[in-house]
Amino acid sequence: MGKQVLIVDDSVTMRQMVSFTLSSAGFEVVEAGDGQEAVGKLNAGAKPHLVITDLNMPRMDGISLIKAVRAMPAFKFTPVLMLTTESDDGKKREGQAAGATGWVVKPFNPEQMLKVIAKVLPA
Amino acid sequence: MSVDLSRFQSAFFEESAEHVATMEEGLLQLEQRPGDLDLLNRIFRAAHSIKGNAGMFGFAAVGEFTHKMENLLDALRTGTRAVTKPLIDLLLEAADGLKRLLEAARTQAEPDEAVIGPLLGRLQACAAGAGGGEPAPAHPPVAPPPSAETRRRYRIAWRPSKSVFQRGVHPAGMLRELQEMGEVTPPVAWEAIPPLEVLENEDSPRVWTLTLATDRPRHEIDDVFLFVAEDSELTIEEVEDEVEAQVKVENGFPSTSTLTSTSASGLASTSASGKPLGEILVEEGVISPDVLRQALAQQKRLGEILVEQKAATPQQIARALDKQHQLERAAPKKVETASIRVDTEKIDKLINLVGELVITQSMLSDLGAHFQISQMPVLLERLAQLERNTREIQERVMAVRMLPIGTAFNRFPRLIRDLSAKNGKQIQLVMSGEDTELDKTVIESIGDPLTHLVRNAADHGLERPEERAATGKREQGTVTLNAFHEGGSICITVQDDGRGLNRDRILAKALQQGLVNETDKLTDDQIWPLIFRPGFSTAETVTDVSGRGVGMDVVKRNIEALGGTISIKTEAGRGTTFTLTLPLTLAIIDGLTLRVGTETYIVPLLSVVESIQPRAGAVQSVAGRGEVVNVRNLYHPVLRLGDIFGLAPEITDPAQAILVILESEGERVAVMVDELLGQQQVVIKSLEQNFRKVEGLSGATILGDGTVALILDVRGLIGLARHGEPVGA
Repeated sequence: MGKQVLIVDDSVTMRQMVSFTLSSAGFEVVEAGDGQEAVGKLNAGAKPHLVITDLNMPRMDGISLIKAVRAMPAFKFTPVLMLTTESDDGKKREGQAAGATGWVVKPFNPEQMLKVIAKVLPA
Repeated sequence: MSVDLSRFQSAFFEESAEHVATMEEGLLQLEQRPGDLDLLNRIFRAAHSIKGNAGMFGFAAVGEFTHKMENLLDALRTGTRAVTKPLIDLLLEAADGLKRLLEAARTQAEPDEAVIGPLLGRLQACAAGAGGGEPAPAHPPVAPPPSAETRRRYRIAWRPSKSVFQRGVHPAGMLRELQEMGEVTPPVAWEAIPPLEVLENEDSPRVWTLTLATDRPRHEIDDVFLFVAEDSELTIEEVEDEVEAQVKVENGFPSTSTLTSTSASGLASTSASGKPLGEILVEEGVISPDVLRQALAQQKRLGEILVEQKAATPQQIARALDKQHQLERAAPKKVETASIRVDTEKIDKLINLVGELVITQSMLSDLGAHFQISQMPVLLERLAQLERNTREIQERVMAVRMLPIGTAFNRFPRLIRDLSAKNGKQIQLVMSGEDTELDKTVIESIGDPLTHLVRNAADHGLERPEERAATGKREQGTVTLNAFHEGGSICITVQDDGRGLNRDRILAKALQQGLVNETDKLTDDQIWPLIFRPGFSTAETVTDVSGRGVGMDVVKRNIEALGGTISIKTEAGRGTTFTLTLPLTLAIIDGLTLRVGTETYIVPLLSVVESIQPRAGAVQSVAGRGEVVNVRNLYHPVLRLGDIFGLAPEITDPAQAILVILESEGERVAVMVDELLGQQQVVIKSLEQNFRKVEGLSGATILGDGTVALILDVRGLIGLARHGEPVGA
């Protein structure tokens, strides 16, 4: 498919796993360790077709990042997925209100993640 | 396509270990700053990360446990529970429990229920009433059973609100998903759907009404609208059948496994490391603390002694030993990581340097292809360039293996906290130089020796508050850890402001153990190193962690095995400082090159005090003790290297030769050689691996001209000097 995905998570392990899953499916992956780093990459020229972000991160958390992304004209309609934990109902709502497209629940198996991505990424 | 994530397990364990360290550090800091929300959030995030990742690999025990910790931490950060010392104690204990669980997961062993169960119970009890029901532990989403495969028809009406478009959801996506499930009527007019930018600005909201004929289960249809259900008007009705109630299915909530919270039964684990046998026996009521103290003071094996004294039966001892083994096995082992985190900056610099090396090499090869003697100056210049490149690369590569010593230091705040409480003393820990870098292997190896020194300072060096106050000191004692680079080595100091070493007691003990004679005249500097002899201890009371006299000699041996030295400075009533000097890397040392006859030897620069050319008659023979030389009114034994290694030296008259004064363990020796050749960095090659162990030598190296030079082992030489035996050539 050759589309670019930006994955934002402060856990190195999680980034590695998502990266691996996505690149095995033909995506190009850009990584960031927190919201601020992600915004930096977007400003520096990254053009992801999809953003996947964790919610709990230092410096700039997921909700703030979602708002920031939506505020950037180039990414106003870019699909944004949150990585949530099952008890995070409040966070899901908060994320949606901030502009998130959808969510993937942790823990997930790779096939589940790819299915959700297919759902929000127009082919 | 199946993606296998198991290759990321070691990354998970490494990262989780870091998170646990973050939690521990954070909790200790939290004690001083209970209101620090940033700190609380950092600790919470660490637990949250471990939980999130553990589920990915199916480590349910880790996930459940961290979930409980998370609940309590959440209660703290929302203010529902206050930060108190008992709470911090519980969380620190929990962190230890988590280490065990991670270790169990890593080695695929069973977690120790006896320890984990009670901890879970206490965590739960503490967080209870902190609001909200208990959410289920992490499970992957469970789908309800699929309904029978029959074709059904559903009438779907979907009116998305603007926010759906603003969130980047394109209706085409939903419609396509529906189409993949069966037959959609009327057929979707794809071209008629404008892009999101337009949809967002439309005044009148659109409604999509269609009928879907499918044999897929109902929940799959609901799933299509999973992300838009909240901000859309949506109806899905089965037609020509009863209207089904709309079931909103996100994730199933499987039943929680019941956690047995067994009673603590008084065996609450304090530290995670193995418990001393004596403690277990006292706890079990087999012996009394007095009996234990008496027995320990004799320093025989505790079990034997107790049986001799009829204070316990062999069976009781055997049972308690079994228990000790169990606890030890369950304790988290030191994790030797085979990987290392490196700053990308270091790697980039290295890549640049290698690039320059390649350039230099090609310039040389160019020159070599049509070399004319007139080009000699150019050749020399390029060779000098090559030397610069190589040296820089060598330094950079060594730097890659270097880590800040802070990683070895970070266990100490927790240790000091525990030791202060245990000993009833007030101890402050001051650390500096945590950024000082040293080789990864060295860091992993100095952990234990440093811990022993810190324990000693806390247990024996520092006095109890009353004693300190009586001598006009501050009640709180200070242990200071410092690390810094000096020359080509790293120095680490462990300092306390306690009572200092007791000269008389050490001398008395040394006499008693036959280490010195009554007639020996020893300087202070020669007395302090006596504590490094095996079995030596002057501690009045033996605690369960130190004072048994098996520690300091091991410390010294460990340091010397790393090619380092340890020295002592102490002042009665003021305190003691241990200084460890370690090479920056194990494989390369700075050496002094010497010649004896036709052979070249290297001696580590760290061990060299000075070199002199003695005056005529300065070297004298002493009956029964060999030769000695007087240097500034101190007599040093003289060793003729030629004699020791069976060589014929060029110079036999000491007044024409050079004497190199070497030092090890406070003892000095003067080694007689023909000539000093210079100083250079030398790569150590092991003798044991290539030949066999040889007394007096610590390795070998290959010099620039291709010859082999042997590296002297100073400690071994001093030992040899005492016995006066030559080494086989």
